[in-house]
Amino acid sequence: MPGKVKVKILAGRNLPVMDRSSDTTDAYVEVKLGNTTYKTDVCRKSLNPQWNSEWYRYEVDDSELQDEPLQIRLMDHDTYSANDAIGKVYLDLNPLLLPASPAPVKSSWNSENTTTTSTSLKGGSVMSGWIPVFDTMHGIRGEVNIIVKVELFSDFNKFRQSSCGVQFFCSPVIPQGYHAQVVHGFVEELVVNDDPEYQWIDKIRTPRASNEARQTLFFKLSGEVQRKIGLKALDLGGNAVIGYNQCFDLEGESGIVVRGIGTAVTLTKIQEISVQPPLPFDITAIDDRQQQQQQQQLFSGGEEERQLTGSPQQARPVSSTSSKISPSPAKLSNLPAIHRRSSDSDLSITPKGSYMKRNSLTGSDRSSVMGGHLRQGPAVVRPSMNQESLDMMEYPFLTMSKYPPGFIMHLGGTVSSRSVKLLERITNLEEPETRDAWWTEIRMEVRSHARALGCNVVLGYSENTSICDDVCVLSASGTAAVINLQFSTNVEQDTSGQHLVSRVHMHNKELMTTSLDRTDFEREKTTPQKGDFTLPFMQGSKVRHLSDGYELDPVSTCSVCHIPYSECSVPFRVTMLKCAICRRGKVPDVLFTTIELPEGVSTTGKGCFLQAYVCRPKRDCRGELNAKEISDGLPFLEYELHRLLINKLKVKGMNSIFGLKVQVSIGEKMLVGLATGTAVYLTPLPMPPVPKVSADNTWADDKKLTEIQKLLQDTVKKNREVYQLKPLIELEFQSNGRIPASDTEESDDELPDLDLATGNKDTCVLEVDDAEDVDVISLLIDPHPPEGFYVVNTETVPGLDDQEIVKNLQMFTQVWRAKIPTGQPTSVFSKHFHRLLQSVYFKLRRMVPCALCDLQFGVELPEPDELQISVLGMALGLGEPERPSSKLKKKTVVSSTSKEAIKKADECELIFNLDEDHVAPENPAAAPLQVQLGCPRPHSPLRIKIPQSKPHHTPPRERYGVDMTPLSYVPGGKIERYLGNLNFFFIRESTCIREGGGLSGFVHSFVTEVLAIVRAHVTALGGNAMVAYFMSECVLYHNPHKNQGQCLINVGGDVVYVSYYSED
Amino acid sequence: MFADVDVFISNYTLVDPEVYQLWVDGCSSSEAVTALNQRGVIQQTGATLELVASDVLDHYRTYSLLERLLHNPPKLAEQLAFQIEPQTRRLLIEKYYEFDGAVIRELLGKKLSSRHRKDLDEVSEKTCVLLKSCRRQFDNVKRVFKVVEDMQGSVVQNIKTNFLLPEELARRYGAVVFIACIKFETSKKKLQYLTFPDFYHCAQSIMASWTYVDNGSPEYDDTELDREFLLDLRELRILLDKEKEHKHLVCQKLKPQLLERSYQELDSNFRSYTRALVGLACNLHRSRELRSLFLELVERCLEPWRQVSWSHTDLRNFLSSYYQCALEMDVLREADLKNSWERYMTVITSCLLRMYHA
Repeated sequence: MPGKVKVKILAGRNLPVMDRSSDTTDAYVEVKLGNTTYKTDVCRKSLNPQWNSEWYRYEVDDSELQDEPLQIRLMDHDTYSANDAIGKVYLDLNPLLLPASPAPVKSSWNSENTTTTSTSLKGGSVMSGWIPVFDTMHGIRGEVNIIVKVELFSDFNKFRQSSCGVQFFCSPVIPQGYHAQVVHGFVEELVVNDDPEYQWIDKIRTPRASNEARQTLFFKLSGEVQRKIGLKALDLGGNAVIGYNQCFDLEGESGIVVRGIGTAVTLTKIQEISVQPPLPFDITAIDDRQQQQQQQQLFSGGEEERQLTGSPQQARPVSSTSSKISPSPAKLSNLPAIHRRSSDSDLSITPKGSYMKRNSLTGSDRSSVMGGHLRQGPAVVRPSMNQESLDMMEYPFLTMSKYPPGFIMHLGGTVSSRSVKLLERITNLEEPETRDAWWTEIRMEVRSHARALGCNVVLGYSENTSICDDVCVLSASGTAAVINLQFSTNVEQDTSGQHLVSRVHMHNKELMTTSLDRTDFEREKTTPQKGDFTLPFMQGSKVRHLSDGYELDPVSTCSVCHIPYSECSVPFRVTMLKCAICRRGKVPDVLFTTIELPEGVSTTGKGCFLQAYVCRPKRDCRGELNAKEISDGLPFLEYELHRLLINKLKVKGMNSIFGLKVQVSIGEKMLVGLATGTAVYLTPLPMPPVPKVSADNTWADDKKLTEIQKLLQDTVKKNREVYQLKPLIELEFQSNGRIPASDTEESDDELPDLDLATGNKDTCVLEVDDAEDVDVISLLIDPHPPEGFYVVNTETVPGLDDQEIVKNLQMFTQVWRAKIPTGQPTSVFSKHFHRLLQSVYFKLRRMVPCALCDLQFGVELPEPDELQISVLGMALGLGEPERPSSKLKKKTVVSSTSKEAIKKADECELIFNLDEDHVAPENPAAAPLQVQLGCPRPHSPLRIKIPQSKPHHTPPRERYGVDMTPLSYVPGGKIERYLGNLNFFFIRESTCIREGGGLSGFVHSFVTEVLAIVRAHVTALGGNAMVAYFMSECVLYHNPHKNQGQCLINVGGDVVYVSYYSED
Repeated sequence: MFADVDVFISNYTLVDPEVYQLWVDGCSSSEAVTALNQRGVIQQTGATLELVASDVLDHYRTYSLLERLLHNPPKLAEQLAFQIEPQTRRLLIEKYYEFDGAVIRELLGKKLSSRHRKDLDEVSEKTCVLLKSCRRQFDNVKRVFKVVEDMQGSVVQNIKTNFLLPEELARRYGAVVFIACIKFETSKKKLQYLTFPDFYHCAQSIMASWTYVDNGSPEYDDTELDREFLLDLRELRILLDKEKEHKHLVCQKLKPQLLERSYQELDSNFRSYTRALVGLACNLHRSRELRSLFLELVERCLEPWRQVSWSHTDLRNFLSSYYQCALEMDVLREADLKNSWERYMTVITSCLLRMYHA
């Protein structure tokens, strides 16, 4: 079925002078889609030509629309010689193929913004604006103003080749404003092709022609992969792919492989509910009855209450869902009012104590808890994923990194697999069997690892390659986990169960707080309640714990950390201890995961960035020998990396890593492993011991040894202070390393197991046999970021309680490359990583207080003796938390110890969930406050340092230009619309590197240009921001003798329209 | 270790005011690092010298990419290559077009040709401003001049719209352009003692009073002097005929305010003073006379006064009485003539007072 594309070329500006004699240009434009080309008239002697062309029409197959970019080439007309190319614009038409989203419902607080922009955004299928004209040899050369319209006739043919309308999201979360009805599972695709750079014809064509051939091919392949993945998603019954990740493997002689992975889901847009009270008094105006009706409507419509999610205290946040809540004031948006209403209606159904109002959880939610326990009724967790589909699925992998609360039941740990392959020329491009087989192999291994851990899925799954000559290392990793499976989505409200369940919730809360407070008073208070209401369940849950891992656990704050496998069945030795919170489940002593910290998991103190780097020399050989050499070296590398990571974690005084990324790069003479993650102290897990230093007899210098030990101890102590891990530690020490005071009888007798002294001592002993080992120990001690900086590689800063992320400041990219003399110890290399971080701190020193989130490192070995490191990150401004009372705030953090906080727990506290790091909880006066939140503080939106005791940022009221962020949310703003994903592959070459400021100048201007082009595309699509921005590939070739350089960059992300709070 | 590539790029162009100032001042990157180091950046931030150097290089690369755009400030807002927040953009433009009075003083009255651009090292030596900065200032002035030279309307307004400069800076450029348009003689040795602010002051008052009046017509141009007015000034010659009366009035008025010695001196020299002042007015319609206005003022008025060591106050008193008394005379009854006298004397008074450094 065809689609119609209409293109109009309006004008150009700032074009380069192409005719030296007259200092002007005779420009015209060629517009090409598929095999059809149109030309505009020549606009003589102008650097700012006005073509104002007719509409060029194309009628193309929709699969072609998906694969082919629209190519716009600006040319300079020459009467006597061949016409010269000025530059090109590639337009990805995919964003224009999406179903037009319904007109946005204006909500009270952003109506201004919406109205101003909605005019320019009618329908999703128009793209217009100024786009930079890019030439691979000269960079940006002026801009061209175009309008592109796509009219698509939907195709419902079962055997169709296109997948138009399947929306792709690079964001590894359920997109804001959407609700995932069903998670269908893993989708992947891979296409291979010859690399034009390596074809014979390349010897006779110009570098420009060769680069353009490559760029065009990359675009087509990217479109093809995306189309095919879309088809697979459709096959599964989904309508969108989230966590979409596309990679280009440049295999050199053997071709190009373009791989895509993602998670197919069925998304429904959450209607901006019209019942939202635009004004505070609306709430009071609505009587209970009315509210109840509304509530029914809401939930029967399958709409979810977003605000329900994310409460650390909510036992079963079944209303799980949908939009991940942005850790910003935005999330407070309008929801509390509804929340309130539903709770009121609850009140009207069952008479309960005031603070049981947290039963604002919906009816279906209640029954889910029941179902979970009785193992009869269906458990409701949306986004649903049912057992059936999970079994059917070849790979139970999900590529998202953040999940709705309640989705994850247990985390097993990181699973990964690597394989070394020898590349050969791909003979049959249509059947990329070898590559497929390679990945299948690896995925199966990951799958089996996950199963060995008793897990049913792998979350935060990602795949990577590293290529050097003809050897390729394929890696896949993810987090094995047990997720909640669902059988049906709609369950009748079980009123009989309601009563009991409400007690369960209450109990959970108490339980959690007790474990934190550890005061007798609290314990006394909870015990009777537990006896009364929850014991029957508890016993059930106790039995099932290890035997049957797919059950719901009533304690949400710690159950995620409980091991999903049975202790005896694991093929490796693990140290397991009783959960420090519930004392029932078993927890590992450390937990590594590749996902974001799930909402609702209790943590102590702040999280911090953690990095381990290992470099291993290898012999320089070719072909199969090389592959073997790498293959032999890899296990050692990985072991070393893991050891370093574990020890660093201990030195930090923390016990888990989230967002773990391990990158292995191969070079001719080196293997490099880089692991980055965010260290967090999970409250349920035991406190890590201080690493001990030991030496065998050959090491004579005792004094030195004690010095080292002292250094380590001091560091750990310092870290605990800095990251506020203190309160628990003191408690621990008081009871001699035992976790103090049991709170239930059942767990009492098992407590001795918790003695850390007997447990895993050997893992925390560092052997020091020679000077090199001493060196390694010094590696474990990372310098702290300077005052005012919080650094993590996750999307939010765990445990940031006295401040709040309020705005985006800067997305930054850093590329560093230098010659590395071989044969140096690892410490020399890690110095470079520190230096890079230091330079980020230095650059952003005027922006404190600020959080650096989603820090992504890439390491490459482009030449035998060269190391290239690239960093991508986001600086976020921290501001004062919104709420006026610090008391409420405290409760958001699990380590809230004051019991009066609990006593004073009034209804709202229970109703409004407190997102761990960021949500500003509502006040009792929910209604008036809501409005207050909607309106901005009296500060200026500009970054103005307010002369107060502490500098802080204030939320933005608007943002200039196009905001780019690697995160999936925009603090202080709300993502109104997703306008499609973009994926560009740019190539830039220069034969005058020295004149252009050296290699640095070359890279600098290229990256600047790439960002400019991406921003222009975002604007042309009607967006004002790009989320989930990535720069996945940055390949740089340099030939100093020829004064020549070439750089390839792959960037992309999701185009979005964000609205900020308006004045009223 | 020397890094081949070491770049930091952000989505919103980062401008460090301190580094930018150093760049604008024409420091090389290593000079900038030294300067920053001397200011104690390292002590304040705990960064290493290497970090500071890499930061400076990043900024310098950005600025050199931006420089082309800064030549046409309105383009800076329109261009897509750099995303610059409005307040940063203002800072960039303002600082780039900022100039040193000393340097511009040297450029006044010179032809803005590439031949002179080569001679800038002398200017640099004399003013102790780095050559690069001199070149930038030279180019800026030349660029501004080229753009607004033939434009209709208020020169300051034109500069503001075409270069997005703040009012004060635009006025300063306006004065430079004005002086260049009239081709005032400014570089004679006798004028060397005058600074740029002196000329700025004089140019401002001339522009305010002697150019065509802004009557809303599109031909209005404040870089051209009012021809009719200059021709009308010839009629003031009549004052020379009535010199005695004028002298009488002035002396009478000044007697209580002057020292005896000064009074004597005025009494004997009034003739030459009034000849100088009125004679100048009568000849201003000749463009050669007009160009050498400042020289004439210095040679024929200021130097004699300086010789008899008048104080600034003496001069002010003299000029004001001289002006007032003429108005009281019958010969200036005619409104047009009176008006011309007012227009002439306000500017001349203001200029003389400014130029009389005493």
